[in-house]
Amino acid sequence: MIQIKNISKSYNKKNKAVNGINLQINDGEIFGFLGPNGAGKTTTIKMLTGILDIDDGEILIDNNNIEKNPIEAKKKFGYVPDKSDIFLKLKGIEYLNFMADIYEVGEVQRKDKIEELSKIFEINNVLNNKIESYSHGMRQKLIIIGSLLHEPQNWIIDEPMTGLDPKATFELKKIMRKQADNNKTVFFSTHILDVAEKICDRIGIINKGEIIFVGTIEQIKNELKENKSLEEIFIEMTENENQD
Amino acid sequence: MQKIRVLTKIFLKDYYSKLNLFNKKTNKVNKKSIYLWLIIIVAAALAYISLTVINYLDKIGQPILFLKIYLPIVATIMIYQLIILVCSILYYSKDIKDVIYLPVKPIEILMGKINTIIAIMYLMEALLLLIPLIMYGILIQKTIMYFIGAIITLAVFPILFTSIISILILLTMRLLKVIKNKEVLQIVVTIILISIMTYIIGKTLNEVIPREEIQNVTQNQISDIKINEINKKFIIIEPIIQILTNNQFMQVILNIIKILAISALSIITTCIIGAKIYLKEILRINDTKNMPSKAGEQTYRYKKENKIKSYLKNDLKKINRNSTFVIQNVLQYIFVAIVFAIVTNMFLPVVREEIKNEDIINNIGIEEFKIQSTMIIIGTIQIIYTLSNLSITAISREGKNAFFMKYIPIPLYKQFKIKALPQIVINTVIILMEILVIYLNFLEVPIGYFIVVFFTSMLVNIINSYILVLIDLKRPNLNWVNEESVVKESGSKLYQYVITIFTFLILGYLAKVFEGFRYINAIIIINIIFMIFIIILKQYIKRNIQNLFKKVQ
Repeated sequence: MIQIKNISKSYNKKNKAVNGINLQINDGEIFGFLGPNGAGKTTTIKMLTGILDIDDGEILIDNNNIEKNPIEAKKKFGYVPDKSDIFLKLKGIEYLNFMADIYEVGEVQRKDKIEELSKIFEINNVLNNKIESYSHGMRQKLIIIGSLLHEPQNWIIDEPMTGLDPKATFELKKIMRKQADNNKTVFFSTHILDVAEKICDRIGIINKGEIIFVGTIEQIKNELKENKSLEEIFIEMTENENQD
Repeated sequence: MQKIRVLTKIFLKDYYSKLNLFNKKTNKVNKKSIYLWLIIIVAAALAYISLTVINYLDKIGQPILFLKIYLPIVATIMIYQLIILVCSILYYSKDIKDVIYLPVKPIEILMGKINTIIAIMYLMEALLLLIPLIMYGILIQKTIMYFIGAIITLAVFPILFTSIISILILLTMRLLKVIKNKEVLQIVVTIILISIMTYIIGKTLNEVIPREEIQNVTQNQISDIKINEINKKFIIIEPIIQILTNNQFMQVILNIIKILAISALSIITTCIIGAKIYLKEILRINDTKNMPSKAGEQTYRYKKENKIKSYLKNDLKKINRNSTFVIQNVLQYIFVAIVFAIVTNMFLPVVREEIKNEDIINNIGIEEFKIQSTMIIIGTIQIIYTLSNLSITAISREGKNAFFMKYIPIPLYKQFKIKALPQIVINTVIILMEILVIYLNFLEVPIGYFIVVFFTSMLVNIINSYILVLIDLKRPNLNWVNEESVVKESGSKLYQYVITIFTFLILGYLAKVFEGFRYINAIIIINIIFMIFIIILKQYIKRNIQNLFKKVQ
């Protein structure tokens, strides 16, 4: 479970990138975090993963405070960053072994997991190559595999579909659902509203650093009493906010 | 010609803009640029050293010795720098990919690149040669002809060396085409050329000035003929000295024609060779980068390791798999340390003689001598540390991936310590090498003395590495696009020089404070002081670790 309690962050004195956000993502649910560019999605995710300091408020990952008890909190999640250019000089298998070592995954478990996931994502024959020789999508797949090796209770994914081919996107969505069905938490940010509409149990929309909606797709439609697609509702809501 | 000019302009702008010497808005000199201050400090130091040496040589009636010795030194530095620079600029810089698809001939790209290298050498020359040559002209009261000759010299000096190194690299890259891995290829080419150069320079010095005769230098008896022999090996240095010192107009003109002809010939040769092989090699190298291993079923090794060990191994892999990092951080440093050890080995007999002749031990007392010599050895090793880039780029090397350190479940303090480790290890090798050279020259000194020096040096080594990682954490350079810019664009290097100066002053102060102490007591207290400093430093890092990693995002 991920609990975000009244967190704020500002990069300068004038503007707050994130302003008093409250969210709770329960076990067993897929939570989609939506918002236009510069709304505060990545800042929130970076605070969630301990990359950025929190100015006010607190974040708990399975009841572990990310600031006060960072190591325990970090063990509880797997993270897929939005940048896939990571450790380009390592071979794919070296990166995965490294991730497994960092999260203290045993030999049998890592072998099974790497074999299973690399086959699903169809990169099982290139793991002896250096990551720099991979395409953007292949790198993304490798990072996704790396984040799942320790079977994290919470999975935090930043723009996971970028660069993935249709089959990989389909497989990723399947894995996300499987995680949730196994009573695990999936928190992901995306720009692809169709995907969010189809697979999310709940969504949160952030704009200008503030949450403007949290709930299910049905709730948002009921609230607006309109039979529009999520895309139309999203554009309407964020545009209204910008005009205000 | 037009295309060469445009290409040169682009390559150069790309290189020099990163030094941030000029404020883009006001077009004035950027006073905040660390490079500007570095240039000012080096220029001031060189001016002072030149003044002292030229005055001394003038007093003993041999001012010309300054040019005869200083010019080959600058040429040697330039040659080593060129080996690293040429390989990287001709074959490995990212801008090649941006121009390779344009309708330009390979020879035009090559000429643009050579011009860029020569321009970089001009900057180096301006730093190392301009002020000493002006100082020489003023102090020896030279005529206007000298200054005209000096301008021509400065314009021509780097061309021959750039051409020779470029030809050697073009040919070596061609010969080593069997090496498919481009990173390995760059390292092998650099090692081969640096080794050849070190061998040639070492052999020349040994042949021309045997070790036993070095002490004659201090007695002003070194033969002028021998120095001239060294200068002949650099081809253009002898005519340049003639241009700068000969009073006969015709002789000066003849020598100017000679160096211009040599330089022009060398550039033409580079073009002829480059036109045939340059493009082919670039395409081949770019091909090898993305070469996947054979498709099909593969076997993988799944070995579990301790996470700290795995982190360290991963860190080392990131260095040694990256040819630019290996050259910048390891090779360059080790070669300089080896050259330093060779030079130390050559000059230690002189030091030994001086100690004996001046009866220094009896004059200042054996205990005092031991303390002072310990501080001098540690201080000298500290100068070598200044050349290492491992710790000062420990965080910056991670670039845009550095945020990785923040979300993995390894305490930041532990990661900090691992980051400081590579430089501590490589410095330990340097310490052992330098101490071994001194030991072999002073076999009568008990081995216990060297163990004590080693231990104290190690403490300074740890302090040095921790402080450098600390500096890099405070001002990391994470937004680099190519590996070369990790050091080039890092302003932190200046702090490394400051630390060396500061360490030097502290060592000098300690030697003064412990005057009259027994050596063993003094060294125990000094080591305790260093250890307390390490503990305080560690506590500071531990307590402020979150804050220190603030810029890593």
